[in-house]
Amino acid sequence: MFGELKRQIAERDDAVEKLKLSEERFRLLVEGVQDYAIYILDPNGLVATWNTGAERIKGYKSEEIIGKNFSCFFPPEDIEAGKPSQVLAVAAAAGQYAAESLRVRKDGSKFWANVLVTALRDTAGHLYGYSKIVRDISAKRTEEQKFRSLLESAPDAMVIVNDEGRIALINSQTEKLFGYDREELIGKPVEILIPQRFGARHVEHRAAYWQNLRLRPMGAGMELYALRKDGTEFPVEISLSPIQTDQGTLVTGAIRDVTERREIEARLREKERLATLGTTAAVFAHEIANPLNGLATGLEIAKSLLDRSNNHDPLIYDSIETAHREIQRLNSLLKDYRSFARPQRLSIEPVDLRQIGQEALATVTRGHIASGVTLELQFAKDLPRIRVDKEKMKQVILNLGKNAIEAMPNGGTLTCKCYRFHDSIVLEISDTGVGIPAGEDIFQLFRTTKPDGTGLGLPIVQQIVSEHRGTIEYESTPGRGTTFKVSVPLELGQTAQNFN
Amino acid sequence: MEKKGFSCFRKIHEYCTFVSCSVLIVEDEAISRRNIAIFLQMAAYKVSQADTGEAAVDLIAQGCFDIVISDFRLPGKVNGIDVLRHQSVKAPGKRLVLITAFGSDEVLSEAKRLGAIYIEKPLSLSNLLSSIETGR
Repeated sequence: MFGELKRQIAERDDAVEKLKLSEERFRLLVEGVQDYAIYILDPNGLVATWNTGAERIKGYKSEEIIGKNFSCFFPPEDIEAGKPSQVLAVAAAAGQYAAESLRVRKDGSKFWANVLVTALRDTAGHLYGYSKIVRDISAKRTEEQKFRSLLESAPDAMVIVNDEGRIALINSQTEKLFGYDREELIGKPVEILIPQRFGARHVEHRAAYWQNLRLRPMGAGMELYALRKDGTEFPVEISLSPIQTDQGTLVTGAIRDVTERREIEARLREKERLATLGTTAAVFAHEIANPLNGLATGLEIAKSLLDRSNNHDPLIYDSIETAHREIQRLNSLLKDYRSFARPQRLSIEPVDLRQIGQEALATVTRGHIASGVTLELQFAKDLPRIRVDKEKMKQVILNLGKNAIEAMPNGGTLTCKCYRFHDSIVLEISDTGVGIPAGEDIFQLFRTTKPDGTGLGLPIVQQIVSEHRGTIEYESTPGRGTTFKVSVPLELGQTAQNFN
Repeated sequence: MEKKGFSCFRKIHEYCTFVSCSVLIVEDEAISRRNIAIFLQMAAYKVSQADTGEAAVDLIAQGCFDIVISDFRLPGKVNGIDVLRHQSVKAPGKRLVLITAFGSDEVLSEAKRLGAIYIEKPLSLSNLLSSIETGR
């Protein structure tokens, strides 16, 4: 009996010894951990244990901190907000509390901490404290910060997509370009940014890209379009590249809006087309001018012979006269066409716009005063001379003036305003005429609504204005009138002067 | 030799001014050339015709014209300005007329420099006639 008891005591002593040994090993293990602060809090939040990692991360030695409240690890504003007790309350209620937030070291410096607080309960369920594991993630946060600022500094809209094709990260250029707020895009399938007609195909292409991850442009040789929140589309170029992250492989899409470049390319193509047209036009115009000359002189001989004969039938004279007028009309059309298709080099000189405006508009309104057209000139007093091609600028005013007159068959007011606006001179020519119907492409070559129009007047104006690096726009209300606004920079750039 | 040539030229020149008013029309377009010729003949001018610059230069070298009317664009290497220049060297002070369809500024200023009258196509024959008679 006694022997049995003695054996049991010995066994228990042995178990206690083993337990002590195990606890000691565990304590040594925990204490030796450098990268993690691992410590225990009592139920009131007072620090009960402290390890090497905690000393390294937080800066306190164990004798300085044991027995102190763990709230000293929080920034003052968090303490004021009652955060420390909330953390313990959450851990006690849910068993665990996890967060990434700012903590304070002994020297007052702050660091980003990954915190895990676990409630400790005995077998009866009584709370006897909390274990806390804290990791300093400042370096990781800095890396992330660097990555984000790199992303923000990119000129393109950057969209980072995960392997499910969902948007993981974007930069603010993306928000601006597509009109979405960040929160509206994160987590959404990337197809939200693609016009619907390409969406299904994009899913297939995306899957194929994941099979062969590499840096490459998207849709090489194809015209790509992106979709804004408001439903409008715009042309884009997209470069794809995979990036390795701790969340696995992601794909970055750098999206560039190429609307402007496409427009420039289109303008260049148009310029080339016009150059070809110009060469053809010059040859063609000569080929037509010669037979016209034969016609005109032939008619004149006929008229001269008629004068000498006894036949003075007015119908013959009238027919000759009509034929002659038609020849003149054809010839002026040829001239316009030729000057449009083959722009001459600008002959730049300082020009007084007031003078050429008055001259041109006086010519235009002559003969229309009787039909009730009044001319109003409003030139700013301090109007500087402007370096332009005098004859061409006169042509602009002439053409716009003619259109204005023709828009007022029953009379009205033709107003010409000229003033300085920043570094440009603005010329406004308004009429109180019939107006231009909405949707009419008035600058389209050969498009005319007038029985005698050539459809070249406004294209010539537009061409001259653009040769001067200027702009032309108009506002029109049907039945009320039209205002054309030509704006030409005061100082013409070198390129404009060399325009040919 | 040169002196002889010079006196020969003087003789022909003087003879021309006394006898008639002769016109050389240089135009490659047959119908236009014919029409100008008919019109000027109707106005009692003595008309010669050439359809190229080269032919015109030969005629100028051989003959003596009071008036030379030339189109600017001509087939071959000699253009209308060249033709008028030959005439102004051979017989300075004579009436010169340049006709063009779409003349450039350079052509216009060269014509002015030669003292030529500049007329655009399509031609008005009565204007041409009054130009050669008045010099304007």
